[in-house]
Amino acid sequence: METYFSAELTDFKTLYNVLKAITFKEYATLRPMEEGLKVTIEEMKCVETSAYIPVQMFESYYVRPQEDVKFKLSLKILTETLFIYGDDGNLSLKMTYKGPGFPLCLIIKHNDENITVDCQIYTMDVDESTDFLCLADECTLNKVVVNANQFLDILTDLDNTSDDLDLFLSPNPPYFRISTTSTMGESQTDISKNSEMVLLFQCENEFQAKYSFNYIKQILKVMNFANKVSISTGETGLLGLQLLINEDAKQMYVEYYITSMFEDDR
Amino acid sequence: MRFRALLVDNAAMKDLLSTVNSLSKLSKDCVMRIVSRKVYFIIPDEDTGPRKPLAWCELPVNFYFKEFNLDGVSQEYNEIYLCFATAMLAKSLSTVKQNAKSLKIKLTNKQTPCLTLEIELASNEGLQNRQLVHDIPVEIIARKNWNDFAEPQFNDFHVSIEMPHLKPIKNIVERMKNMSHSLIVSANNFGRLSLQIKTNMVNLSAHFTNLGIQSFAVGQDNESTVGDGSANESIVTATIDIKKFLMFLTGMQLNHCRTTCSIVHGKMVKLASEQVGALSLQCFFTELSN
Amino acid sequence: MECIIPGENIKVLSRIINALSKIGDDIYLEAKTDCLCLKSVNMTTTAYCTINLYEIFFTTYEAGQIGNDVLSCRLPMKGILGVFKSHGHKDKKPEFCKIVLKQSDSKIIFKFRYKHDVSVVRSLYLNDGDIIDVVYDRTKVVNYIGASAEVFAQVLMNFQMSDEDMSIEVTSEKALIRNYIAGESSISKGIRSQISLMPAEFSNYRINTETNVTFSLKGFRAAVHFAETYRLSLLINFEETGRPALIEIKNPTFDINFIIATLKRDNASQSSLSSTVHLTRKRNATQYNFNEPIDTEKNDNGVGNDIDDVVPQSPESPRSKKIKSIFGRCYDATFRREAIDLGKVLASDSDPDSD
Repeated sequence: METYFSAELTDFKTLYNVLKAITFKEYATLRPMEEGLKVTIEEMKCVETSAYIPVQMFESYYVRPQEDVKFKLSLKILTETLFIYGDDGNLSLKMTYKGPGFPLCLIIKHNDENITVDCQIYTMDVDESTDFLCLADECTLNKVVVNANQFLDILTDLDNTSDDLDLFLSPNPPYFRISTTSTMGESQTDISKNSEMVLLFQCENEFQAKYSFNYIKQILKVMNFANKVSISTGETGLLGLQLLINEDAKQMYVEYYITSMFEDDR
Repeated sequence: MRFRALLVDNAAMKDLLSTVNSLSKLSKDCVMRIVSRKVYFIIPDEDTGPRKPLAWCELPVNFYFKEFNLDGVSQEYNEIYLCFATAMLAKSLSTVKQNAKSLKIKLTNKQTPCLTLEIELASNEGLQNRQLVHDIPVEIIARKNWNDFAEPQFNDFHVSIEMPHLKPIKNIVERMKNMSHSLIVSANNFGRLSLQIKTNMVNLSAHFTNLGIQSFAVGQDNESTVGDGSANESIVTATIDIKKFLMFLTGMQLNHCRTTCSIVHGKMVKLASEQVGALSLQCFFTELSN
Repeated sequence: MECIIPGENIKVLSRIINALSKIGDDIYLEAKTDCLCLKSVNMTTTAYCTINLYEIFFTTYEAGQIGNDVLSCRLPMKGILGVFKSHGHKDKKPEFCKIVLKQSDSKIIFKFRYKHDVSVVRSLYLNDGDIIDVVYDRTKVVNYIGASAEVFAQVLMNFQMSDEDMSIEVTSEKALIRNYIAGESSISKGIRSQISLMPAEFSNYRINTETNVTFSLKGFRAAVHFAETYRLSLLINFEETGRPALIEIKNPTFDINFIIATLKRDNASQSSLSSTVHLTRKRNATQYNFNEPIDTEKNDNGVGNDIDDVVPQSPESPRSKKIKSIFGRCYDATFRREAIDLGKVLASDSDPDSD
């Protein structure tokens, strides 16, 4: 039997946490590639979220060579299945995908309790017209890398009632400013490039753009699991957040891209 | 009609609390049936037309109570049936966690019939004890309605199989509940219990093996037989409401209990937990019709 | 007004604001010369709380008073809760917080400074409105009971979260604390609980008049919860049924005075604080200064006459009046055997001699 994709994992708690935290929509596209598995959720063409699980995370990993393997399935079902034993440990997971028209098969063993779960999640074909642009190539204007915990603290402390969030980057003070405005008041948070939470600060020209706060809030849940956040911007106001998630010596990533809001004439 | 009972052993109070806590997770209301040697808690199934218990719990009087006085409705029927909100009894009883020295449970009439709990708490500084009274309004069930709460009798189970640890099962069923409404419970004659959900998105089953079989009625009409080499595997199956099944698993996190699962093929599933001498609880899940 | 709050006190202030948010929708700030005063009153004026933060609470404190006018403002509770919601809860606590309020400015500014070169500036728009002041006449206090927050927390543990009121019946021998269940219909629905405490359980226990006072649990819970965090004691001062009670929490750097209306006896409704204590409205110079406590409530059903009713009525919005008449039954005494025909007794008391 010619399998398109198969992989084995032993510890997938972090994978579950990450996928659960980015389940903004029911369906996701899975793309097993040679370098790793990419799970992508797209929303209304102005936000794109991907989780990227490098090949090193897996115990074994096979993807059929010279084949663009991709399929759609319910991310909600996949995450529920990964969490089938709750928080209990010592599990092993094997997944196989035989090709278009076949389900994604998972076998999850609970090695302490002598329980086996087998599961077939039905898949759908991916609309051929869906392009996978490399958004990372567009975000080349500025780059700031910050400590994820501290950055998360700052974002969660912002005025929740604000509809949007204004981002300002500058080579001069205040360097990195996040502002909000709401019916109750205004807020300004300044992060110096010399702050211990800033690990890298690359900014040559001033950059200013406004983003929907709701879209930013979506990403906060998964930021809980991240160690570092890389913030990059592009010409068109595109904002890229790349989250680095460490698990032991292994790493996985979440990439989040948001387009800026149309500016009022000023 | 009089009822008065006294507990002085804090461990027994806590056992009672934990049982009532479990029951409160199964249903809003419960019926308490008091007879001279036993106290029963009966959870009616709210869905079914003719009233049928969903859960049936038996507590032997001598395990819990130091004193137990009962005057039933009549000499012929020396029993009392009460109905009340299970959560109220659970909340009122939760006070026993605060170092209770004695707990008196009695039937009183304070404008409405009440089950009154009088709890004596040992005070922290060795001062005089605190006295606590909780009045739980109850409804007295008339003699003519007692039949609604008769113990269900089933003798025609096709299989009775030992249940594995409830905690992992609870986790699994909790996840399954998020994906499906119905649960297919099946057991085979080799000691394998399977829980399965099937929807248009997913087909998922969990298998538990090497479980003790207490009885297996061979040669059913409805049994499905799988031929492949495995010598005469017979499977008994029933499809039940996943939410009710999960309620039982959530509620029944009781210690020292052994649980058995019994299935009537295509009809019903019974779960029975027992702690010998202290508690027995049975839950009945009927086949989903469709 | 300009003040700087040191890092360790920001969390205290955050908890204070949290407790105050259980009372009203607005917070009033008054920059007195020796303390910063935070106040809140609920919509029905049955609960009113004042918190004085003394100068030693701050690193620096300047009231910036001009003439005799005390600088004051009114803020939406939601806004200030947002400003203080998590500062101090995280690993990176702010080093200090600076609050600036300028005369006739439309906003108040909060500046937080963090160790790791991060600063947050929040400004909140001020609400219009008068400053309300409730003056409690301490000379009328005849009874008081005090205990550590822990004792009250243990008492509260016996009540349900759905319980709305709590009544304290005191004699010189004991205190009986119950969850008061309003309205007859609810009697068959909820648990009635009663806990009896001996005077020795209290740190202060002085009862001159045996009485029974009933008040809302919402604010009391918040007060107990707050006091428990800092291992403080609560002192409940009260007079008699229907007269407001004063709950005090004291600390060297701040004090809390929480005035709460109590339910009136018999058919009466809940008294509003404005009717029973001195109430003044500042800024627009409207003052209600009653020498005698008065009763604002007309008896809707015409029975009974409160002696207090001879004094002119205090102003009251027609809206609250309507609400009170609709929910009038809710304020009725719980248990009046004669009020209901019990019919056939299904279960008699099983243990009538004990109580």
